[in-house]
This record gives sequence, structure tokens and C-alpha cells, in this order.
Amino acid sequence: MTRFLIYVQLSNNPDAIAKMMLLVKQGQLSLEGATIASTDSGARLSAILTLIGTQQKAEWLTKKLLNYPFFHQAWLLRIQ
Amino acid sequence: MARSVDLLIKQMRRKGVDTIFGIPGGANMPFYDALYDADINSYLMRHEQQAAHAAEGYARIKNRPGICSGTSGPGATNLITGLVDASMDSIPVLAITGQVVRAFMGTDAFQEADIVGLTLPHIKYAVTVKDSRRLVQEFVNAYTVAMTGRPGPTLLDIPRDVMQEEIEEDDVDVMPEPLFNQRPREPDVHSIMEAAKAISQAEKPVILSGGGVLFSGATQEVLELAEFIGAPIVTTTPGKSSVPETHPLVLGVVGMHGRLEADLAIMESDLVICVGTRLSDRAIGPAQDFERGRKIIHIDIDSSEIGKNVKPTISLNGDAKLVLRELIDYIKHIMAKRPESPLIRRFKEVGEAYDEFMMSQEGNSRMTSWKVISLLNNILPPDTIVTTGVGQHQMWTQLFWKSRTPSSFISSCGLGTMGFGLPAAFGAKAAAPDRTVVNLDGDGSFLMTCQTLACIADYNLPIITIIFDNRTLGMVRQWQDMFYQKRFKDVDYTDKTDLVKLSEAFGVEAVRVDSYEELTTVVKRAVRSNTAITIDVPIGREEMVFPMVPPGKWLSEVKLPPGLELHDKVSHIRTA
Repeated sequence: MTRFLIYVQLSNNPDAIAKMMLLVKQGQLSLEGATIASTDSGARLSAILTLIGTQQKAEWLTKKLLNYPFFHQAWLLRIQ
Repeated sequence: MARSVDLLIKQMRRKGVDTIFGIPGGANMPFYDALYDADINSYLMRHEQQAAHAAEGYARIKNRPGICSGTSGPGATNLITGLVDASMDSIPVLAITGQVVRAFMGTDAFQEADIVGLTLPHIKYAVTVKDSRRLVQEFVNAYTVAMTGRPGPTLLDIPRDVMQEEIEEDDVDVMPEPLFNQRPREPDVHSIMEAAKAISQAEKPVILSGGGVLFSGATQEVLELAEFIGAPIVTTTPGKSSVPETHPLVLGVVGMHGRLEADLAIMESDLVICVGTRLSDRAIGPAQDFERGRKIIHIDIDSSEIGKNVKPTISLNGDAKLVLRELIDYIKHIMAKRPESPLIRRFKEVGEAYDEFMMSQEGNSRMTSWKVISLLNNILPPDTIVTTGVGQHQMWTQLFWKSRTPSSFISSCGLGTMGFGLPAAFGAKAAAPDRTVVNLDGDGSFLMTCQTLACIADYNLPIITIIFDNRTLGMVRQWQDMFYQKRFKDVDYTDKTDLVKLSEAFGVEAVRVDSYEELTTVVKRAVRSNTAITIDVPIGREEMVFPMVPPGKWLSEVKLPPGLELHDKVSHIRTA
């Protein structure tokens, strides 16, 4: 198991946050921490998720997020 | 000034929406009121789940989003099964639901349900529109994104008062916002070259054609590639009609209940070119077995599918048609056309031996599922659209029905939704009134959505339903037989439900047949006279679908029909 940071830019609405968390669940990743703040004058949110899981699942999540128009960008960073 | 819902309908027409399947209720009544004057066919269904499945059937034929609608609360929640089904099979469906007025939202008002929250895990995009000035834009966004990239379901939830609000009329063709209209990635040239090289070096390549080939319209490219490299084509269940099954290189569906020749082709391969498929365990068995001893090229529009189940040797992210076009063009520069692999003849001999054996078998009933379906190949027009429910009859159809036209096989493949067949057939017939549409159903599946017969009668949509009536949940019974020591529990039905009378009660002619001759006569007459009919075909309860690869096992551990010996034909092929 590895620790990852995923940085996500998402639309500013609760459904987008819910969808993001549902995808974390679908990817069978453990959530260690989440920081969400508004950006772009409130039009978007930026989220930093600290996740534990396999590299394969973390990569899957990063790509999968971009299938949905709730999310503008997603980056993955392996930290441990 | 105009009601926002009137502008919505206007924009829907502008985008080409001509058909809606749904049921009106308190919260979506303004939507139906706006439809009153619109040039849109709206079909009044008997249950919202059926509206969603009908929209799926429509979308599969038209290759554009099917629209379904329900009111708030139960009307919306009834849509969920259909939307999840559409998600699993990547079908573009747009659900338009009514919602309680904004002032009542969050108060547990009558018929209030958070349909956006309920569908979020399985939907591509869902939104509750709270600003009437955003309604048209949100529709365009949801409609576009349903068919952009990997298709899927979307949902537009509209509070009743939002629909009724008067707003400035702006009669323009609204474009989707950029986030909702992202073009698929262009094929990576380096990966194309790598893939072409691997194909040119492979001795026993196989093409695995999935549902993505249909959505991409890549049938010709798959055939062209196969013919150039002399490779056999096998398909997944969703990809069943992606290539004509009468083509000499096509071996049929692969997987748990796949054709033997198709499974053998995969087992024997040294390279599999997987096109538009998520490579589910049902199709290829355990990933580690599939990966062992062969190279894998995975072409998919959804980059998250690449490496999810199977680690490919080469990945090609992009639209199947575009990727294959470039791949074929490049291959033609680096290799000469190959003759058809001699292995294909051997694989086909195995398939023919299976067919011959099955045709020699008599079931406990006067008729058997496999003979009925084989017969239909000869009496139905080549462009017939076949839908199925879920269960044994679906697998028999997969094994014995020969699809000859793209998108002519419509089934619930990922979610496995019993009851899918009849409403999907309704949607398909609404989309293609000039084609013969046949729903091959099981009695268990049929009874889950049989109210669609009322719609068939009301709208005079001549659908032929053939029920493989074994008075049991056949596939569950088969698993109880094989894996639960024949402890049959809650699977068998009595004979008390008369399916012929049931159909007639809904206003659809019905007949029970006792022979293949009678079946042939009835089907031919229904096709010729273009009339709806329900045909009850008694089938033996003991029928079991073989071949079957037990769950979690590699294709080589396939169980053959009892009595079928293939050692002389497959001894040279690597099997268990």
C-alpha cells in the first residue's frame, strides 16, 4: 500500500464533492485526509486528498475523475 | 417572455430530440404541458424503469441519447435501475425528472427524493436546476456529455416552479459549456507504431471486439484489420453485433457462456487486440490468466479502463474508429496482407461439432431453446433487432443467434437486469419502426416488466416476444444445480400464471406453440403482417447452458455439455 496525494479542481457544489468521494470508495482507496477550499472567486473548489491504496487504483481514480464534468483537473502525487 | 420549460422543449427539438418515454406526475406536469404542443413523440409507459430501458433501446438504435422522464420521488427513483443499467453498458440516456418546488426542497415534502444524490455513484452527470435561466444550458450540457467520450446516462432534475418561471426568450442554438464537450484524445503515434509492430510479429493474433466498437461505428475498421492480418474476431456480449457473425473470420462471443471456438481462439492466441471493452471477468476470466503468455493491445476511449482489469502491453487511448484507422494505415506500410490463419478452420470445426451435438440433443420438453434460436436465424430478416432479458435464454441467444447488422443485439450485459428485454424492444421499435424487432425473453424476466405489453397495444408497435417458458429462474437453478448441491430454493414457478391470457389481457395477441413448425408459421406470419404477438414456448426446466466456464476459472476449464467429446479436435490446442 502506498500513500498518495490527489489534487482535484472541481465545480463548487456539494454533488461534485459527493461524486469525488464516491469514486474514492469505488476505487477501494482509504481516505487519510481531505482539504477542500474554494478558488477562482468561488466558482471552483480545489481539493487535496491524502489516500492510501495501490498505485493502480490511484491512477485509475485520477483518470476516472476526468470522465465526469464535475471535475476540471486532477493530478496524482505519490508521497511514500 | 416564455416559460423556461417551453424554451427547454424548443431546444430539445433543435438538438434533434423526437421521442420521449415517461410518465407524468405532479412535479413534471409543466414538462408534459409543454410537450402538448411539441413535435415530439411521447410514449406513456406503465413504469418508469421501463421508460429508462426503452430509452436505452432507442439510444442503441439511433446512436444518440434516449430521453426518459418521471415525476419527483417514486417516479424518479423508479428510473434508477435503468440508469445504472445504461451506465454499466455505456448507453447515452438522459433522464428528465420533476422535483418539488424550491421552497419545499429539503423539507421531506410529498414525493420529494434527492434523485441527484441517489444516482450520483452511477451517473455521468446529474444536476438539480435551481435557476430557470440555466435550464436550457444545463439540458444542452447533459445531452452532450451523455454521448461525449464514453457514453453514459445523465439526469436533469427540475423543480416544478423552475419549469414554470417566465424568462427572457432567446431563440438560439445553445452550445455546451467546454467542460461538457471535451473531445477524445488523438491516438498517440508512437503507441500506434508499437502496436503495429507487435501485430506484425504476432503469429496468432485475435481481435476482441467490444461494445465500444458499436458506439464508435468502427465495424468496418475491425473487419478491415482482421482481413488484412488474417486474424479471427471474437466479441464480448455487448460487442455481439459489432461485427456480422456470418463473416468467415468471426467466431462469436467469448467468455463464461461463450462459443467454444471463440474461447479457444483466445486461449491459443499470442496477441489479443482488445477494442472498446472493459475486459470484465465474464469475458476473459481471471486477468492474470489472460495476461499470461500473450501480448495485449488495449484500445479504449476511457483512459481509466486501460490497466483497470488487465495490464496491457500497449495501450491506445482514443476513439476506436480513429485509432483503428491509423493503426490499419500504419500496418499496411510495414507488413503484407496475410492469408487467413489456418487455425480459424480448426476453431470453426470445434464450433461445428458443438452445434451438431446440440442439434442432436432432445430436451425434456418438445422444444429446446437452442433449436428455437437456430430456427429463428433462418426465418427472421437479416436486419432484425433482437433484445433479450437476462438469464439462460440470454446465453442461448448469445450462443446461437447470428447477428448480422451493427447494434442489432440489445441486451443488459453489465448490470444483468431481468426485465430489460421487452421495454428495450419497445424503445428500439420506436426508433426503427420499419425493422422487425424480436424480444427473446425468459418467463422470469418477462414477468418483471410485462406491463410494457400495454404500451405495445396502445401504440400499435408490432413487437414479437418469444418467451422461453421453463417456469423457473433457469440460470439461478443452474447455479444451484452445479454449485449448491441441487438444493433448489425459490426458483420454480407453478403453471398457474397463463402467459397467453396475460398477454391477451393487455391487448396483444398471444399463442402457445408446441412444435418448431408451428413456431415457424406464427413468426413468419407476424413478420409478414407486421403485427405484435407474444409466443409462449414451453421449455424443459432441466435445460442447462453449456459451455460454461465456472466463475473465477480460466477459459480452459470450460465445462462442455454432458456427452460432448472434443478430444480429437482440440488435442493440438492448449486446453485443460
